[in-house]
Amino acid sequence: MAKSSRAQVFKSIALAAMGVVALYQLAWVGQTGARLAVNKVWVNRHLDAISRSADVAYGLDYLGYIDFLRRQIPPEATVVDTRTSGLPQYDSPNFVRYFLFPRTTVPLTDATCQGEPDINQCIISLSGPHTYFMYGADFTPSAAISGVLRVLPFKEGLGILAPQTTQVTP
Amino acid sequence: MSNNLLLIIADLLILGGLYLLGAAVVIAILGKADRIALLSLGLGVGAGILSWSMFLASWAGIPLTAGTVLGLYAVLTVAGVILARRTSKADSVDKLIVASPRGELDSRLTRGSWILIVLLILAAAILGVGLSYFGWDDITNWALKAYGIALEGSIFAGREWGAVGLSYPMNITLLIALFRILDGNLLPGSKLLYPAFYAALLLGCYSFWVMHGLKRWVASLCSLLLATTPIIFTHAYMGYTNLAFTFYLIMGLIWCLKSMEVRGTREALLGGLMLAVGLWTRPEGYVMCIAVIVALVLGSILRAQASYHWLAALIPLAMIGGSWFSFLRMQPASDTASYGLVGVAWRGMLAGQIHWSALFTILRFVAGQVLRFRDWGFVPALMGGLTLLGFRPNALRRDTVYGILLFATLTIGLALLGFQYVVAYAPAAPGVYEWLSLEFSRVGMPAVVSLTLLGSLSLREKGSEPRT
Repeated sequence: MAKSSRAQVFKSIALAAMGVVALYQLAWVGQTGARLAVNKVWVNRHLDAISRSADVAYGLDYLGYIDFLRRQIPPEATVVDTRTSGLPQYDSPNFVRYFLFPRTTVPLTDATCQGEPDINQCIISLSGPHTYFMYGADFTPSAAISGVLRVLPFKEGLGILAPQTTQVTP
Repeated sequence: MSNNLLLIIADLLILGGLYLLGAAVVIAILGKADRIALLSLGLGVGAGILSWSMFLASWAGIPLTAGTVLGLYAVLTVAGVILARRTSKADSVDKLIVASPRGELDSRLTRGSWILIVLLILAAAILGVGLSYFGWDDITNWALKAYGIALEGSIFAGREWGAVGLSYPMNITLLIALFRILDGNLLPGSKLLYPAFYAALLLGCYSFWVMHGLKRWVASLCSLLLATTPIIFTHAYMGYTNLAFTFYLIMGLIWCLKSMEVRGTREALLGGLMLAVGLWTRPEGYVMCIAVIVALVLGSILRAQASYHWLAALIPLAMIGGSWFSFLRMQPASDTASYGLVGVAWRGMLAGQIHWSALFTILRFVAGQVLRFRDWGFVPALMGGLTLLGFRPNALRRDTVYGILLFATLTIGLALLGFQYVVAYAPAAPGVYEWLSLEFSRVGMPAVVSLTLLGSLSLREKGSEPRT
């Protein structure tokens, strides 16, 4: 009898603890979810899925940059990521490629440069009518590049190098 | 009608189609199934079978286009429905939520808990679609790879698109590709898969608890506790695959357990199928499946039960696992380091190389995780406490469910720790601490859900404990 009432007390305490914990957790996840729903879902409701991804992943500046890239680079182009920003969200071709889909995005590596030590010379050697280059703050376009490619700066050292022949969307 | 509304309808039709296929297969396997079993298993089974068939078709050279995918779906569904009609029995079904509850309070608490759970599922669906894909891995490992596969119509596109080459199992990748192929995934509708797996996991656990002697309101409270666990709710709207994997592994465990209780071949087949699709969902899946099988073997030895239908459980594992690992072996360029690492670590341990500092780091990290509210809420502490206080050594032999769940929680936990420990043997991998910080909280999900299943058994009604 005493054993059974002890078990009942144990069960009651456990259930009360579970109830309190469940409600506390509910309040916590509810608050986190509500914040996201207001700040990211509702505010971004007019954006497409890729733009919403960009804002949620790395914020408004990133969204601005991705929009800039998508406006400037045609869907059939190849994008070479020079990986010169020092930040993974700009320097990882696999990450950037999702936002630029269906554009082909490739990294600028020693292999693509084929032993060319100077990055400006390498970019010039890779340039073509459908090839664009993303660059970051660690890269300074040389005078030679300006003769071959159009330099389209975004902000904070980011920008792209576009073929001379393409039209730019205002 | 607005474009978005049309897209929502199309996405719901895709989900409904997956559910229909899965429900037909579940009925074909079990012969009969209650509504909760169908609701909890239908989508997961349908999704796993269709994605595996897409994988085989593409491997065989058939391009993945809207036409071929719909054709494949039609063949599978018709076959499933015909089999289901032949095998289905007209037994009465259990009505776990809607049946008349024992008392007014019981009824109110059950309904109250489920109203909150349904609100959480809806919130996860809105957040999932509204936020789109935003985590590093869900973008580089899953979504981008799926988009590449959909664009080129071949699984081999995964070698070039996204990270990790072709080394990760493709269940979720091909499901995202399915949405991309059929409606462009513009919302993105594939993000509805995650809240669907969340709902299915909660329903499956609820059903397990009610079947094993918990009152409905207690089982509902346990489900609410699981639903509000921060990392589980986060993964219900995030594009990672850990929650889907947890669903498959835990449902595999539950149905294999049931097959031992009822000595049923059909239940063993279903349990094996769920484990196999788990293996087809995450790279650590095979380690976790082995952990569950070890727990089942230990349980059957302890009960001296020779009648467990191993063959039925192993058939789907051999088919799905066999095809996947054969595919991997034939892809020399694949990044299969994570698979090879287990072998490297095993050989190192046999040669006496033990990384004590890595072990110490892992144990210290795990201890911190147990108390980390932001990830796990108070669930590990609460369920760990319930398990310890409710532990009865003699129940291991008498009570199949309790014994095997205890073994499974331990073996899944050990497999999880082992999977972290092998990183210490990787020459070019990040340090163990960095790896744990990145991975541990999400890969630990099956262990915590298994612990919750186990701990909640302490709340069974008197007289329902021992099952012989």
